[in-house]
Amino acid sequence: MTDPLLDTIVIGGGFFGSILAEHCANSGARVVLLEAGPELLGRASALNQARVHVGYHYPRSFLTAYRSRINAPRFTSDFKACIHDSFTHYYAIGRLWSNVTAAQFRRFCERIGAPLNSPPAAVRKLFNPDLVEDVFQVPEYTFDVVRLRALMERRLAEAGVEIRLGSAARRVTRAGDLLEVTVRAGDDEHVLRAARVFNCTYAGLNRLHAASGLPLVPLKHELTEMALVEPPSELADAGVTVMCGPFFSLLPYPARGLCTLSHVRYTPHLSWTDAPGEPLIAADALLRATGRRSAFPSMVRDAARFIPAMAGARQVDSLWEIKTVLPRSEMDDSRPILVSRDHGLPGFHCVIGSKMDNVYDMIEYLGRLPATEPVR
Amino acid sequence: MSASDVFVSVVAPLGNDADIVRPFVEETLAMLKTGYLNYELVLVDDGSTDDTVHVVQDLLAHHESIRLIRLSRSFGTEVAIAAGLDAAIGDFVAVMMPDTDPPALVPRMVEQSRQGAGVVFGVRQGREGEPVLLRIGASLFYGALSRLFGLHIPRNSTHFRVLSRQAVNAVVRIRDRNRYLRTLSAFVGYANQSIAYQVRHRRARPRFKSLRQSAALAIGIIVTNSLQPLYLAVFVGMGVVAANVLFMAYVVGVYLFKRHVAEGWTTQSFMLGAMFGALSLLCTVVAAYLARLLAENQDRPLYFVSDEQQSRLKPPAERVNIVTDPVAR
Repeated sequence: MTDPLLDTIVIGGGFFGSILAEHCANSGARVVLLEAGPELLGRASALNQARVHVGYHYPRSFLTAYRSRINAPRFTSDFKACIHDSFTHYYAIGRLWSNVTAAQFRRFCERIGAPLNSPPAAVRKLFNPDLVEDVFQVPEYTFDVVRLRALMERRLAEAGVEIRLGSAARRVTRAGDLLEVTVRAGDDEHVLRAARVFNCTYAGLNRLHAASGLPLVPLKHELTEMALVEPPSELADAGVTVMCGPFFSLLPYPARGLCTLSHVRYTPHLSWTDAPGEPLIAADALLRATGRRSAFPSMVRDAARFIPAMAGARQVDSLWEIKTVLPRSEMDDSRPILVSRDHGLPGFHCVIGSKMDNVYDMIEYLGRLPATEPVR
Repeated sequence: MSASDVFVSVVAPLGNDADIVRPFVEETLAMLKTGYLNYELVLVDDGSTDDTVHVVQDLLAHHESIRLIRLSRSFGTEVAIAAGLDAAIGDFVAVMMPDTDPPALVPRMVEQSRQGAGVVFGVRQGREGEPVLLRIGASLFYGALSRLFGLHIPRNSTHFRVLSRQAVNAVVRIRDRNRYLRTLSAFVGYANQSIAYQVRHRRARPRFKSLRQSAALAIGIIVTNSLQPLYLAVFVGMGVVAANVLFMAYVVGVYLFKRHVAEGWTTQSFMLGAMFGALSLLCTVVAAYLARLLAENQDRPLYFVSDEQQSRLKPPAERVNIVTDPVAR
């Protein structure tokens, strides 16, 4: 069975896929959004620190920080109802092992125009001065992914995007002037045809490419864990980010009413790269594998060296997810998005998002592309 | 906290140890894995120029919970240990020299520390196999240490030790450039206990310190930790000054009451010798302490880290199933 012709198929209903589908639909295209899971924004968009970056986090990548300065206000106003800002966020600069000093961080914030405030003495006292050089209070917040999901569902409906949940793209092939996407939904398999297809499946990007005989994108994956914790009473209504090296963050995760505790050293459990000629690793099987030990004991012990009160953090759960980055961004800490146009097939594009607010960079980039002729 | 709930860190400095690091790491990890749920092995490479780093990097790809901290050059074993203590996160931290210290003893030392000892340090049984000169020197050193310099380093104690988190936090606050873990962990207090063990060398031909290195170590330990030599010099100096005063009185007396003062050559030479001897002794001691003061006052970082790496495991082989059906979930 073959569905009627479409203009655009977006594969992957994460935040980037959803925004992209909406954008295409708003420019007049007939769009279908395919999501393999049971809901939109259910995977990496949700299972992550819910940080809305405003630049502080990237003192080693000026461009990433600068783009965050530009994009974050827009993201914050577009998604106002989803922003959780009823907490105070502290950035602490590590004394040992840190890649930036407090003075450098101050200068960096001046350059990108990001305000730094001095925290009250009672908060300073929470930090171990032997390991923490300085503490700043910053206006940087998190988002509630449950609200964001509801909002995106509404916006997609308004834009006229057809959402198909539980529908996984198996293959993409060329059929004349069009692209054919083989879709599996439950036990049923059918084919959709469209003029252009976007692959926004993030960690799953290369699985579709491998099955379609398309070139792989060099990607680095990590199996990551973020502990969901009840913060100690001293840090109720607070977020903490320790910079800039093998440190940790404690950030409110409003969708669960808890905090995520993540640690640069202990959050990644396994890592691998997709290499041409080698079998792809079944990341979902890794995620489903049971009996994996939480790294929370390591995270909390290290955190308690910097903030002794952190010893009182109580673990409730963990968020496990596959995180995917471009290998190049490992060195300089930058978080570019990847857009690969006509990837192996004309009309087939893939997009790998990174930070949520970078979505505007993607829209802007796509807006500069020549528009595809609508198929009628 | 039950025995298996504690987090144990092992810190080991490495300096050109490519030949022994693999068996050391494997044996230590086996011990940690059997005894504890939570552990880490922190290896600090002190600017090795051999293959050490490559061997460790290979180990990082195959074992969990190893960390490698590479110092930017060789800063010496003591500073490498300090870097490891700075990095370790455990509730109890064992310091081990990879060549000599038996991992099998760590659980007993951790248990002893759990019972309340802030520091449980190893004491080697016998110094068999060491060069004779080294053994005589060691014996003299320990004897003089307590009697002359008021320092109490347990005889034949080694670097091998387990420190509680409290003791680690105290030791890492001391940023002395000239540091000796053995005196530092005694200095911070927190109930020290000893445990005797047989040093067992992994190398067929162990590396012993040369006589010069040992002497430098002995002088360093004394000058860093004891003000006795300075006081000694002060006492000697005062004695010499007093003798000098008496001597001058004698000279004046001779001048007043003796008629023929022609001899005196012997006395003169004797006095000159004594004075210059005392002066140079004073200068030596003062110079030693001045150098020390200068070094401590430079206030530079203790060490520089060039790189930190950790275990980065790939998915286990049995789960690297080839994806034949790329989409099935």
